[in-house]
Amino acid sequence: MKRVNLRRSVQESNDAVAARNRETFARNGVYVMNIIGSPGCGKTSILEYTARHFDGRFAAIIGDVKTTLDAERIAACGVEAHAIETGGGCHLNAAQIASAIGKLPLAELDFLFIENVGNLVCPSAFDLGENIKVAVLSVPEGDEKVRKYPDLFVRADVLFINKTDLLEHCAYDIDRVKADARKARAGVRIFTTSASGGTGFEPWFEFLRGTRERAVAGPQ
Amino acid sequence: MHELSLSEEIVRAAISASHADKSRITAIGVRVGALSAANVSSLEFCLRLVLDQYDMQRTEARVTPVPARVECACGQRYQTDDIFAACPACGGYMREVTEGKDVTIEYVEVEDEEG
Repeated sequence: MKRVNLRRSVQESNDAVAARNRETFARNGVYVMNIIGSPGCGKTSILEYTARHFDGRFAAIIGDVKTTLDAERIAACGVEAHAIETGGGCHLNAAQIASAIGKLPLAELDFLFIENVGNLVCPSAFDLGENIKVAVLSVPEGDEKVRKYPDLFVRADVLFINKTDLLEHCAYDIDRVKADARKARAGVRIFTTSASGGTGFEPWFEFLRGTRERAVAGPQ
Repeated sequence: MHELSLSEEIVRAAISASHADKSRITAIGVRVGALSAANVSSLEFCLRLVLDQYDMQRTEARVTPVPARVECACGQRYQTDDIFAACPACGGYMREVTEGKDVTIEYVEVEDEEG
């Protein structure tokens, strides 16, 4: 009997493709966000509002199990949007992004939004080559989501708490959600928004402007 | 939900790393981090399914859960099952997760060739 030691991540092949994607994005000066949240939390609505009100050159890749409906919503804002239908797959992987970026005018972009399949579990485990992971929660989902899905929140760089217009109708302890998110990841940036009401977006836009300026300035 | 695709990746990697006929692989060792977004019992179930599909009925899948390890800004390093509990040394939360985010293929056991 012999034992062959491997000690390698099961994500190794995905990570290799993600690293190539990251190089391609960096070479073209594109800042990439991997947006993860439950179905119906407002991922697409946040992108729509951003596309309509923030002055930047965007494109989007939209993952869904079925249909191109969300990509059509983003395209209607005048943003180039590619749909990836996973046909049952519960998350996007780096290879799907690699084939989609060939169709994008990367050199003409500042930002690429990748909207993942609606799911708080699996998408967090797959690196796509993004700069940051953006988690999206919404008020009607309840205030225990950070506790229930820690795997995402230890990785998320940014957290949106969306649908704040519904706070008055829901028993939702927003301070608890913020505190839990900071316990999971001390440095997380938190934005509280209502995409349908168009409130709370200025700090997010400020953040986007800052990332672009940092990217233009190069590594410190 | 993605444990089936992880299982396929694990079995394929084990076969290629063993440099042997897959029928001689007796065991595959896998570690599942507490924050890996994979479920231990689902992974065990899916590995069995994939191994049988590859005609590897004799191969045992050994799946071991691994707690998260964190490093606090105060210098304390510790393992925890509850990422929402404060650092036992300083009571703070300025920590980085250093282990427990991955599913890793640890080893493959291969029986000796006869004759």
